[in-house]
Amino acid sequence: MRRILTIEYNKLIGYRAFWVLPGIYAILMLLFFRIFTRLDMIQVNGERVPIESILRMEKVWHYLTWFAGFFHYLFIALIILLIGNEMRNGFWRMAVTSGLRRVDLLTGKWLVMGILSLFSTAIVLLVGYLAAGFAPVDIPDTAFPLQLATLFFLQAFCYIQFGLTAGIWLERTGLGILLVLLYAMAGEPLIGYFLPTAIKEWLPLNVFASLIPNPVLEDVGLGTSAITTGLALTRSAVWLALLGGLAWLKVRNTDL
Amino acid sequence: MNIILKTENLSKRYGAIQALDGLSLSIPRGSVYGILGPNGSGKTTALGIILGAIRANSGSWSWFGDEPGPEHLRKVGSLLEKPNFLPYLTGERNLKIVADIRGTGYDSIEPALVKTGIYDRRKSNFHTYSLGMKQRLGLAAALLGDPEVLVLDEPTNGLDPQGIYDVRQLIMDEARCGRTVILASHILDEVEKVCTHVAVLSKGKLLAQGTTAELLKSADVIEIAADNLDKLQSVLEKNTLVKKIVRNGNILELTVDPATPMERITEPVARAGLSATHLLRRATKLESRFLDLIKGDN
Repeated sequence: MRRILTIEYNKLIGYRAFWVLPGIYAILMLLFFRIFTRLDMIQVNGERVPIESILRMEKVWHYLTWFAGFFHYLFIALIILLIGNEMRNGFWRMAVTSGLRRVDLLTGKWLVMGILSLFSTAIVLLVGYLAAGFAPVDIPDTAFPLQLATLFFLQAFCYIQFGLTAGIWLERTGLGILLVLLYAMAGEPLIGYFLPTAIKEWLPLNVFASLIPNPVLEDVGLGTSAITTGLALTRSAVWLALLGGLAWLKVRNTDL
Repeated sequence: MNIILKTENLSKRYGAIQALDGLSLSIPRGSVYGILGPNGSGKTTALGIILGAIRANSGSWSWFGDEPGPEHLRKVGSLLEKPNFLPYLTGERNLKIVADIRGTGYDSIEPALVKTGIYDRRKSNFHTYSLGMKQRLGLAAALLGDPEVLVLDEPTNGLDPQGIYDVRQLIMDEARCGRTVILASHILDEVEKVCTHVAVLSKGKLLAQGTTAELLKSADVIEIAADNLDKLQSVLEKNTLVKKIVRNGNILELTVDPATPMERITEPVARAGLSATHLLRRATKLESRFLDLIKGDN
């Protein structure tokens, strides 16, 4: 495991996108919350209402983790770039012919995914504590949100796994990123529209998103996410295994 | 004889194309084994399979007498088709990755860079290298950790004449150290100069294999001419020792077994009242032997 980590470290240390994209994520998160916590009013269903009435700050961690979920796509793009670069430049061929096991190619990526998920979780926590300091209202509960942090970590990992599998199968960086974004923005909602609810609730991004239910819907009285967190956890585990299996299938059988 | 690599009936198909068709090879320890063939003959596919990069459709192979595995490949330095490195990393950093994969430590990086003449550019990013420099870095990677076997696929690609000479010297130096070298090439001169053994592939099939000396000795060419070339040809066509006659201008080129005495060719000619105006016996160059084999296959 240490050998694989060293290999990944040597690969990533000189890769600019690996430092730039997480940096953009951190800056965007900090900027957003700096702006958000200075707002007095917010627009909801066409009406301007005081932010305190909507954003019940005892739920600050819930809001934070839910909002930060939109930035998972930065890490999806990063993992697709990493995979595409390595495949295009024949790195996998070189690694395997030098004696790296094919499964280690994936193990390395899973370790990187773990690091990226930890990093994004750490940024969420940092921003949460900073937001508490800048918020226009008192935040009663700023204790470490273990459950939400764990769910956020898992959600980040699942999203990046989705990107990893797409990257491995599509092999091309630009096409991979474009197709994943298209699927997330239009593909899955469209597919879901034509499917019965029971099946729609199994669609992968829908399941991953349900790990942290939409707090705004709750607060404006429009209900919560369709499936419970427990169900989302189980289904995420199924998807994680399925996506990991698909990635392995391709890596194991492909001619490098 | 100690066999380093043995393949049995290796086959690989890409859609409608049979890239490799039942290849069986035995590569002895300490040999410089040339795999010779025109472009598309299956050389890279064969090497890709034995190096674990390409999946064979059928057949088997063994490294060092064992079932092949990653642990065997760590004892094999290879350069398959072209150097594959990450372009945004320095040459040295790329070699560190190879050393990590092979578990050799970083101590062998500097000597390998020096040996391949790329030490001065070790801190430059790979994408800034010329084709020849990339090839040298690929060779440096293959040399890391004192491998028992070197597998080199077209190692002189992109090199200038000095580079080609350097690589040949390097291969011969490595062979003198007792290292087994497997060298795929379509450059006949390269193979003839450095290889102790040769296998010839065409359209994925093995046409011949053996020591370079055996393969070259399998036929000689006798050039003969006379005033009446038609009569000379008809006399020679009756001689069962002559395997093939090619008319080349005013000269007939006869392919004969190397053991055939010259008199067995010239005496019937003299008996027919002809006197040879030109007579020359030459040993086969690998080039002509190779072309004969390929033509025969076509």
